[in-house]
Amino acid sequence: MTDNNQDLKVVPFYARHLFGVMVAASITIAVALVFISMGLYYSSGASQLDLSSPSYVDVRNQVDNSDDFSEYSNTGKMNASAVSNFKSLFNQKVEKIKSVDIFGGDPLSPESLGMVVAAEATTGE
Amino acid sequence: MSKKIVIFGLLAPIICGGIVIWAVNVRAEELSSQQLEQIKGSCITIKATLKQIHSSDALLRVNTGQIYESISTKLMERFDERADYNNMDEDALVASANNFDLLLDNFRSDYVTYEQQLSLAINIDCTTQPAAFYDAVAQARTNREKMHSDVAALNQALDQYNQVVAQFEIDNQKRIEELSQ
Repeated sequence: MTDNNQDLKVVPFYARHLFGVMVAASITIAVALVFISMGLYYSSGASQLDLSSPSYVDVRNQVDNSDDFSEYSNTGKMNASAVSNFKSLFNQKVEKIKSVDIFGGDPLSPESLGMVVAAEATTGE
Repeated sequence: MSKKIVIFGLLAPIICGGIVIWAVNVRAEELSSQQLEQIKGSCITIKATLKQIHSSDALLRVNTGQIYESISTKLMERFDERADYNNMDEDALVASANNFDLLLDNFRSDYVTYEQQLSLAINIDCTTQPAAFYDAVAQARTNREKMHSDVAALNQALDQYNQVVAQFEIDNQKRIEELSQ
């Protein structure tokens, strides 16, 4: 009986509850990693581009997933054909992106949102 | 000298306070009571419109960002690397591509600011805080205008890169002809 008591005194607490300590440590590490990853998710701006979130349900199916960029090789001879091919691909993409007035218009103006009273709106404020 | 500092120290807070009070009064004059009532009355409609703009702008950001990203990584970078692979002077090309990447970073970070501001406006209760709501929307509008100018700058950088490629072609005409044979 005395020997058993002495053994208990010698073995530290964590060693006597090793399984419980492991479970607690695992949970703590998992929670910490979740906080870190969520922090990165929000701080990097990824959350604002995450169209899987419920607020973007209406536009989710309009994402352009087509990767129509022909692979332009970074090796090979820089001959007339390679330059011409590049210029053709590049101009094609530039024309495509320039054809849309991105973030143009003024949908957030008080007039567009109906935040001005009728008389002000007609007189142009 | 120390007397002047003390006087300045006493006057500075008074001047700053005066400016703040003046600014607040200007805001109060800008929004008439009629306008505040108009915002309160149309609150639900305005918020619905803001949510639509929020969604459509997110889509625009994703689609546009993808194209700009691909132009940079799949075309410009590769062309620069190919020039280097052929031992041609690609410094001007790299500088122009770096400038484009810098502008693309601005575009990304400005969108984060804009989206945060628009979300802030959407979350303000315009029936109880119409003035704060108006201000938040006005700020979001300014941020959106910044996005528009970012896009203009990016498109200009693309034109610039195109000119650099044309110059590269002229400067390396002999070598290109050799490699074509």
